[in-house]
Amino acid sequence: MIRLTVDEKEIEVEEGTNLLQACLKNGIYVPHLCYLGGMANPPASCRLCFIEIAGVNHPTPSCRTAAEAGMVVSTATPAVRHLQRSALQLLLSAHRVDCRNCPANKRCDLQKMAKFLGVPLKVKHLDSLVDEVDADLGHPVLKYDPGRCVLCGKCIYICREQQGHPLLTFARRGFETVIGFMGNNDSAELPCFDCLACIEICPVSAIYLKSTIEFQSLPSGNSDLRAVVR
Amino acid sequence: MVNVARYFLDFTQNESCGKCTFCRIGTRHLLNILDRITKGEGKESDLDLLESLGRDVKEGSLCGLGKTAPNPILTSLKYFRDEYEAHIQEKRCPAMMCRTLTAFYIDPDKCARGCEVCVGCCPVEAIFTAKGRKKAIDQSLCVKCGECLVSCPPEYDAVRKVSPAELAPIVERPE
Repeated sequence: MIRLTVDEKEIEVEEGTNLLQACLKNGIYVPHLCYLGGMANPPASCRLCFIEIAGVNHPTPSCRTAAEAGMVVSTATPAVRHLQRSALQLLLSAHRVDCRNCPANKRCDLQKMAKFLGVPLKVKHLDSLVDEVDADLGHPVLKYDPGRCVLCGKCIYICREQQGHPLLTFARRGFETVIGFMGNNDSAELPCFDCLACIEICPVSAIYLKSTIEFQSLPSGNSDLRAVVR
Repeated sequence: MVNVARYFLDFTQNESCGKCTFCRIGTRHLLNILDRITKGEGKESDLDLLESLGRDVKEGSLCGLGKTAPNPILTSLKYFRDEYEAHIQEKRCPAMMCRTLTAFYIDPDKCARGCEVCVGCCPVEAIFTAKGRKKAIDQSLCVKCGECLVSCPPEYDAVRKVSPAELAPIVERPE
């Protein structure tokens, strides 16, 4: 066990714990989106979990920094909050803010972080970059909305964890990146019907269940699976 | 220099892998703002936004691409801020590189009469014969390719390039 100081509070964590885990386990909230407990290699792609370590003159992502004995960490410095607010505003500018009609309303991570950081959900000083295209996953049960997706990658990670190999993947590149489905043509073989972990883990409901109406338009061979999902 | 900054950002934005928030979304915003400025649609608040967003992208990005992509903007803002301000406040491009903010016209005092070289080289047939057999450019058709400027014989040197575009006189096409 190693001892370190976070926000002037002394905490004790197991060796090998990253700073984000260390904070969250000790009741200190650090905004984060792409990190899941137990990840061996956090992607550090959301750029939200910044903290400041004494002796380092710039904010550092906490998910990729191992806790060390005697470290002095601050989670709420002006520099950290500035970067976090900036990152969240960028994500919101590329997200279709329509909480009333969204299945993630009231349990959405963007709402939680916006409230925590004091950032309004509609970003005034940036244009909206929302992609109105509906990307069809080509999946019998799952639907994907790129206008909500924040590309945290948790759906891909959890799919790999549950199924051994991921059925979801990042597709295309750069700003056009979306989630894609590495489909199996024989949809009856899909493990998805018993799993749906991606739907549960998505912080913004970008990946969600097709409505029963859409599901019923599938070829009749899937009639027994229809009952499972409904 | 505004055009130079836009050119480099266009390249780096396209090269962005898309993994981290700042580079994927931030550089797209920076490019959109620069595009607006080069088209004469810049706002007063754009310069401060370019500066602060550029710094955030530089500091918050995951890899070297994101950390250096805003550099052309930040340094050109530092050393050539007056060019940015001219684009926004006067709709003028001091370097005369931004097409929307520049225009070509033919100086009737220098035009040779009956030369026809510029008429022949114009890809959109925007040059016509006006009063006194001098040539003139139809601004509604001109695509600002600059061919007429290059092809006008040096002894006449009659084609002028100006910015802002309003400085180019409108010449009525005879019926």
